[in-house]
Amino acid sequence: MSGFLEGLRCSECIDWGEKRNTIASIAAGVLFFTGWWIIIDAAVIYPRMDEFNHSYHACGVIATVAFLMINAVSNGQVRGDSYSEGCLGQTGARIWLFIGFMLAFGSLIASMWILFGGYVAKEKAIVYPGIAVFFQNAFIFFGGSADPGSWFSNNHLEPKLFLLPGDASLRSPSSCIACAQAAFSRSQTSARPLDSSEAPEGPCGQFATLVSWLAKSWPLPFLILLVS
Amino acid sequence: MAGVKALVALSFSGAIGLTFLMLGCALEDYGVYWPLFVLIFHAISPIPHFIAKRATYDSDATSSACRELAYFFTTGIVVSAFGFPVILARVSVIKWGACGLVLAGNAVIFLTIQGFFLVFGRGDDFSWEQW
Repeated sequence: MSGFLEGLRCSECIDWGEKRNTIASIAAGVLFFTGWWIIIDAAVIYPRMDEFNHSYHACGVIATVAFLMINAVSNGQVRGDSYSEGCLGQTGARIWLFIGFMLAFGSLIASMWILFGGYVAKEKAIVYPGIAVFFQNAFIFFGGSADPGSWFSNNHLEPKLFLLPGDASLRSPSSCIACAQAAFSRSQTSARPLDSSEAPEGPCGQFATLVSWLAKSWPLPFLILLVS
Repeated sequence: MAGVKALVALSFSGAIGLTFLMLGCALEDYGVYWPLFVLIFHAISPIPHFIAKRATYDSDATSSACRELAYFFTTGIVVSAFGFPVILARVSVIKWGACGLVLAGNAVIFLTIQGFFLVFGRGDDFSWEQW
C-alpha cells in the first residue's frame, strides 16, 4: 500500500509535447465557462430573491478575479528564473499569486458555506441555487488550476496567458530565446524538425481532445440539472 | 487548395446544421425564434483563432500563450453556444424538442467550422499574403 501512488506522476505520463498546453487550455475553458453557465441557469430559473439571493453572485465574481490573477503569473516569474521580470519582480509575483490563491480558496469555501448555511441548514425547499453556486465556484477553481499558465500545471515552457502591466511583451527577444531553447532541447529528444509548423494532426488532435473533454465534462451539468 | 469536393462537402454539412437550427425554430410545434441567437456564437467562434494567428508573427510552433488564450475563448464560445438553448428550454421559452434540434445543429455547424480549419488551414504555413 505504501508505494501504490508512485506510478501516478501525471507530469510524466502525459507527454504529448505542445498538445498538453492545448488540452489544458481547452479543459480550462470548458470548466470555466460551464461554471458560469450553471449560475446563469440558476439565476434565470429562480429570479426571486427569496429563492436565490442574487448577492451570492459575488462568490463567482471573486472566483473569476482569482482565476485571472492566478493565470497572470507564470511559474518562471515565481521561481525567479524567467527572463522577463515584470513590473513586480519575483517577490511581487509571489505575493500576487498568494493573494490570487487566497481569493480562490476563499470563494470556494464561501460557496460551500452558502450551500450549507444558506440552503441545507435552513432546510429550504429549493436547494438548486446553492448547488449551482457551489458547482460554479468548484468548476472555476479547477479550471484555474488546469490552465497551462497556472501554478499547478507542471508546464516547462511556462506560457503566460495574461501580461502583467508593464511586463515585457511576449515578443521580447529574451522570452523568444527561452522558448526557442526549450523547444530546441525538446526537439533533440523528439523526431520532429525544429521549425515545423503545426503537425498535420494538430487541429485534428485539438478537435479530438475538445470532443473528448466535452464528452467527459458534459454529463456533469446534466446530472446537476437532473438533481434539481 | 484542397479541392472543390471538400468545399461542397463542407457547405453541405453547414446547410444541414443550419437546417437543424431552423427546424428547431420554425416547426409548427415550436414557432419560437429565440434560438437563432446561437448564430452569433457561431460567427464569433473563429475570431480568437484569427486574432492569435495575426498577433504572433513568429513561427511559434511549440507553444504560444496567445494561441492558448484563443483556445480558451473559443472553447468558451462553444460551451456558450450549447448552454444557451439549454437555458432557454429550462425556462420554457422553447420546448425541449426544439432545444435538441438546436443542439444538433450546433454540433454539425461547429464540426463544419473545424472542418474548414482542417481542410483549408494547411497551405498557409509561412505565407501571410492570403489576407
